[in-house]
Amino acid sequence: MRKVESVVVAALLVALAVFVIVESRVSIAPKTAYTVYGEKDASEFPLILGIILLIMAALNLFHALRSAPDTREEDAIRASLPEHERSPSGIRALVIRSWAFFALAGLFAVSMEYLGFVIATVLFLSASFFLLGSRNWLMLTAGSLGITLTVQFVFTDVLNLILPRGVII
Amino acid sequence: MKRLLAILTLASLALCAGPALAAQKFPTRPVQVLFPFGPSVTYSVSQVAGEALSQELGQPVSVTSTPGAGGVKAALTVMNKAADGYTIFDGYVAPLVLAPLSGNAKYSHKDFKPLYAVASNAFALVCHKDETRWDDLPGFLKYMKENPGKIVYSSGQDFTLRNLVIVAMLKNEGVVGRKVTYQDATEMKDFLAKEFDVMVCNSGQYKTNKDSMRVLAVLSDQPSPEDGIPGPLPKDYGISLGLSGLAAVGWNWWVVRSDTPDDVVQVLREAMYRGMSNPETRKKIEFMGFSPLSPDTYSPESYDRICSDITDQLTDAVGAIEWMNEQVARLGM
Amino acid sequence: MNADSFLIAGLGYYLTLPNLAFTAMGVFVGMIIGVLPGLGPMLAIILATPMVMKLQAVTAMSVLLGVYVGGACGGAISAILLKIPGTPINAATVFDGYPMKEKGESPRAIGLAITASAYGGAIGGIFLIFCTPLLAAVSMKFAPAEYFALALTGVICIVIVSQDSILKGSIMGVLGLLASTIGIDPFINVERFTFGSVYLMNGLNLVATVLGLYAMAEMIFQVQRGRLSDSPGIKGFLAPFSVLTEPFKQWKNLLGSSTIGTVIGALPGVGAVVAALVAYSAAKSCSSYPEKFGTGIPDGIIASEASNNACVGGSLIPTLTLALPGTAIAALMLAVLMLFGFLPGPDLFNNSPEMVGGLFLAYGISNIFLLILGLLFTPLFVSALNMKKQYLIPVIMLLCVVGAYGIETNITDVGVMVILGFLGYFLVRNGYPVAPFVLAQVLGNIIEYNFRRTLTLSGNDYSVFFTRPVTFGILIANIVAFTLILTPLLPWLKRRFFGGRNG
Repeated sequence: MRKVESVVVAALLVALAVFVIVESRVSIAPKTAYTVYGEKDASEFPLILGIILLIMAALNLFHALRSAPDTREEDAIRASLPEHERSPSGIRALVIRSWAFFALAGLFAVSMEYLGFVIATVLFLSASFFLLGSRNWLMLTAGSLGITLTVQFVFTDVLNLILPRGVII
Repeated sequence: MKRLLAILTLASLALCAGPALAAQKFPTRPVQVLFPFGPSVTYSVSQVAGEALSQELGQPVSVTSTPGAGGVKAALTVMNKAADGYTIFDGYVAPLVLAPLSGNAKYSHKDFKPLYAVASNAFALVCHKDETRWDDLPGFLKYMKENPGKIVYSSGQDFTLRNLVIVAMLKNEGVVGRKVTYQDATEMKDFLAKEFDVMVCNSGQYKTNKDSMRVLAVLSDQPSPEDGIPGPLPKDYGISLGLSGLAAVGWNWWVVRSDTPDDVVQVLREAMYRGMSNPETRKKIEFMGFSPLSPDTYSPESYDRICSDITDQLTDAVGAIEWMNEQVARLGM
Repeated sequence: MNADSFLIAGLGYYLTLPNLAFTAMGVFVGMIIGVLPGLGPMLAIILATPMVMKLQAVTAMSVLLGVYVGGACGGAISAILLKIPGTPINAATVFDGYPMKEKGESPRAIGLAITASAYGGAIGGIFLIFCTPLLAAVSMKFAPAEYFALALTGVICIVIVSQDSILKGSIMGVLGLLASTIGIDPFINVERFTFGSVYLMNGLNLVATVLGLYAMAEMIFQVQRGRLSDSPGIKGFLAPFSVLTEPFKQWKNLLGSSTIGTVIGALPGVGAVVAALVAYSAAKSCSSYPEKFGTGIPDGIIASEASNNACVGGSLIPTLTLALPGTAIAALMLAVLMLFGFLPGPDLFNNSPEMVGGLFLAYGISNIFLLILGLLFTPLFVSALNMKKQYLIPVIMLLCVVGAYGIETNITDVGVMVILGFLGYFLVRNGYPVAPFVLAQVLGNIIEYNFRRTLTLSGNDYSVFFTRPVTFGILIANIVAFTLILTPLLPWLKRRFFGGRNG
């Protein structure tokens, strides 16, 4: 599975290279109705880069297919885990949690302009604290509210930045 | 513990209620002006106007630089924000009139409700101080006629007013030159280093480098204001610029979304009128070499007429860009 | 007038208690804003400008200079403690800053970043005060052809900062170069890779990119590292005294990196991101232990931070002498100077020597305050992170989202951050380094646009790349450097080409 992942990434890079080359020729080049004296047309640089990328990505894919995947990052993560979290199921649980957190962050980003900064942030913080293991009800409610209001104060009143208002509030 | 929780809950409820109560009197929070280009001297002029508006409104006005697509990105961003008067578009002629004209934008100036205009600045065609190949504008044009494609000039990207105004004049005279495109301060550096021949510059650039420049012409049909760029006008030599009045110069008009409620717009207009009439504001703008536009002449009522007139004038000029590019391409082949 | 007379003229003008206080405040504010991911000194200066306009000219400029100097260092703290560069210019500090923190030496790492920044900035200041005419003349000699050649040197640096896999690093570099082409081509007004999106018409925002690739991806890894409910128990808060002298022990690194930073700062349109990464690459390739770079050695921090702060001083050179801003932030300062009625250029030096001297002094003193305030507040920064990870991670994520939103008040920047975070996660997991992408994204436009401009100016004549002495010289130097760096490392190179265990 792990090797499949690394091969997929390498393959996607090859696909990207092909896409860049095609897009340069098909979409960009024709729009240059003329080549202004001395200035090259706008599709050359991306085309050259696309070709270089194709060569490199192909080599990379070849290597990914032939050898074991580079798992240094995960090994480092596993090494830093304490004993009781190091079992395969423990690791899997953490990975799932990390993706759940990412999904929360994504939801937060998307909803910020609808719910407004305050509501979206309070929800995000409380949900995240809970997801990452906190059961301290004070932090989950007052803590996240306090942090939200502090950030809002610092950014809008001190720094004069504008934060999303939201449709509701 | 419970008391703390109760207090915090009450406090947050109060904070939520606050805006509801205050919503009666616009504005109750900072106003944002979207400036369509990157940081520059022109940006400072908008900041001066923003400061003046802020004084009159009683709320901070922040001018945010939102560059992209020649200013179109800022315009579209404003149109995507709520029509509540808290977002103003700093409408420079490029995104407001030129972009719709060239088909780069799907909106037009009619999609905005005007406040007041801020300032205008004329461009000037300048050459090196010690240039020996010609003495004045007619001499320069004669040299260009005799050496097609040899002159290299810099006037920014294709669909900017700076480029439009020079290309229109060159087409009228039937002369061809090569444009080199810059986007930042390296333009002036290369001009000073004599990498290319002539440049279309604005007053900020002129002021800081006037000892190395000679003005061939101020590209306008109105004489320059006191602090502006000194120099002859093309019509002094009997040469036609092809554009008159505001059409030849850069200018900006602050506008809001057209569906903004009238009472909100009224507040903004009154505040801006006072701000722009303030002699202090006008003086600051003049020092930068820009001409503050009188709020009496450039009022919301005149917006439509002026923009339409400029659109008509620029429509012919836009064709000159295509012409010049074709001519140069033909030479290079 | 020579350097001394400017300084003397500036003394009476600038050296008052209120001005010093304001400068210190500027440095402090700059540092704090630099620490917050996504926000940077540019935003701080834009926001501060209306406020400082109410002050006297020299006071206002000294606040802004303080913010500029502090902001160039503040981002290093988040780079070290969180693996997230507070601003893109601190991207190279992550290489050795974060590993050093992992070894439990975060106060030392922060202390080094501060001292290297202050010393580098001071060296930049010396260049500013004494070598301005020389450097200004050099920058005038750099036409598009020379910029192109120099930017290619940056490309070599991409290979050097590729850490463990040269092929994968180069792939990321090419991706970064491609990313720089997204948007409207300024020469021919053609849309490239925009797919009709208004946002993409201006390209991928660099700050959003850095936040996505570094911050968001890292947050996912952080959760996977577990220990979410553990009490953090960071030991030792104050930086050890040795941080004051360590940069001097590496005086070649310090001097070289500061010089690189100053020179790059003096060339308009390049910037501190490039300066920091080039200095890091230079330090790594000139070192006798290049393989140790990236494991948490002081050299990497010193090179990166000295360079990006020296760049501040360097950028003031063309700004003050020629009214040509060296960086976007310098452009803002130029505009403020003009708002106060001062005209940069020869005018400024002739008519207002006291302002010039005041600016020199304010810059120098900003670096002194950086040293003092930075080291004093190191415990504050370290202790601010003394939270349980289950609280710290969401709060950092919140700051990143706010930072991304604050770039242009556009929710799309947040979206870009999230998407790049997703992609960045998989890339980092599979051994593709992120820094080459960032460097390449900055270099891409410099390479392409200057190549095309060169041809316009020369009338489509390619020989100009060989006949212009400086250009040709740099190109030859690049080829030589490329061969020199790679050939002796051949055995090391073979193993590092593909990366991973199986080389």
